[in-house]
Amino acid sequence: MIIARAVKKKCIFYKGKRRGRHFNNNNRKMDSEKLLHKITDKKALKDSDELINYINESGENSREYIRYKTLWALLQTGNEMDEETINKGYSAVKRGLKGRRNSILLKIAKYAAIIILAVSAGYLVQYADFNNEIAINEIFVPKGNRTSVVLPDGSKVWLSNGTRLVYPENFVGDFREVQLEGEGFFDVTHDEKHPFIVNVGKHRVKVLGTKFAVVAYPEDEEVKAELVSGKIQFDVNYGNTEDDYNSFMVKPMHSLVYDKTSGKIYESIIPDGFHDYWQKGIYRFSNESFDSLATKIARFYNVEIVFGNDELKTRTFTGTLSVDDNIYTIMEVFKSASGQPFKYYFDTGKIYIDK
Amino acid sequence: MKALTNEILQLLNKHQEAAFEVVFKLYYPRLVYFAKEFVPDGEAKNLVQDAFISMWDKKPQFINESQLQSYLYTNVKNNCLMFLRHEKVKKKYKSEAAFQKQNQIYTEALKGLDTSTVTFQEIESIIEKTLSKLPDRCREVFILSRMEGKKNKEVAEALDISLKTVEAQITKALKVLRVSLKDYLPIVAWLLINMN
Repeated sequence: MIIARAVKKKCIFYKGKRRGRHFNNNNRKMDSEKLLHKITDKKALKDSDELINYINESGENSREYIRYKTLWALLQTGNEMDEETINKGYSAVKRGLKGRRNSILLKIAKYAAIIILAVSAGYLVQYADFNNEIAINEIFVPKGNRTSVVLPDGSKVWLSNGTRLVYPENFVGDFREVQLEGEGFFDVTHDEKHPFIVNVGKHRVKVLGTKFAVVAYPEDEEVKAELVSGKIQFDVNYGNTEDDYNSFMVKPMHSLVYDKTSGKIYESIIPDGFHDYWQKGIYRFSNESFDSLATKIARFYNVEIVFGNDELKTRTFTGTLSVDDNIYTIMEVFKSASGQPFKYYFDTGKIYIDK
Repeated sequence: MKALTNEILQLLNKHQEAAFEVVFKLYYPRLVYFAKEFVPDGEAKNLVQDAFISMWDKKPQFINESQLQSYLYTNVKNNCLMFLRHEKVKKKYKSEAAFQKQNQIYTEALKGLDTSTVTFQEIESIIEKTLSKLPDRCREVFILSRMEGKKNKEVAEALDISLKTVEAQITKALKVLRVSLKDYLPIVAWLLINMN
């Protein structure tokens, strides 16, 4: 069936397939109409030899294509997009706001090796505390990343994998208070009149000009404070009320660990690998269970480890992990180091380990 | 098309999440389709999402909607440029001529695009004037297509004309717009909003 319509413009348009004579499109020279058709048809430039040849012919052709292409892009309303797609997009953004997203921009920034807090190592959000009218900063470091922050008093904090630090733009009042969720190494400027306090959940670490580390991941069973030099007081909150603290002084080069499940406090000497971990990102372990190591691997490299067999969790390993290592190399090393063999495979951000 | 109320803009400035969601849902589709002209579909969505995340983090204050449009389009444009640069390097070993040519042209197009606030404000009236001068049928088709987002097939059915006619009318409108906006292309970005 052929329907022909003559329009004012002298062009003839056909509806449906034309039987009989074959209408060879290639005979028609490329002109603006054809150019526009290709653009509005959303044909990619690389998929059309005709377009490429046209553009290569002259700078004017090239410019013409660019102008129409741009105009077309700007006129896009996106009304074709359905509600479900929009909602999915918003969910992705909400996840991204919480820093759990590994976007291509983060990847590119990593290679660029620029330590800009808000881009390469974490998300810096600033919001106002309406009660006190002081801007509050919150920095979130996603898994597989590390960064350092300088606080308003000159104190320096190194933060690693999956850590959140909240601190005010200016320290006012009697105390210098920050909030930590995750792990950080602090080098606090000395100021006896204004003790420095690190709040970790219900507990807190009170400080007087020192170098120390705090490890307090909400999902972990322990909260740990490790002191290099200076003086810190670890206030553990056992009770239900806010002010119900038991205070423990930590000795230099010692660590204090609070076990949430048993409620017990342990003291020990800072392990040898402490400085290597914070300064060089090297983690040393000795007879540590695969299960425990899996948590750390998940944080360093932003992967999830799934054990197919519980027995595997209890196997122990001795060695070192470096944050600069490649996760693929690491798995191979574990595999060859393991007395009894095991299998593993990767699948979309997860590592499955089985016998 | 819907526009943002002043109230929503102010709430957005106050960093209220509900307002942010409204702005997102309004601008996400057009920004994605804008980006799709220059980068692959999947990437387009990621890049636009990143622009919104960045906007939330950086908390810019907007005086009017043109500023917001400019901010978002500039952000997305830059993300596309970054992606194209990344792609160029990644695929260099392949050096498929067509692919490289596309990358070069798309990059040039985006680089030449000025997405500043001023241009957003000025072009609006030009577009309105241009469309009012189009023949009725042409304008009708164009508005149904761009404003109401009807697919070409739907427009053809609504106006009881052929698909080819619809395409021809859209092409004609684009040609006229291209002329009236010549001072602003490719140095300008604009979008048809608030046409009601």
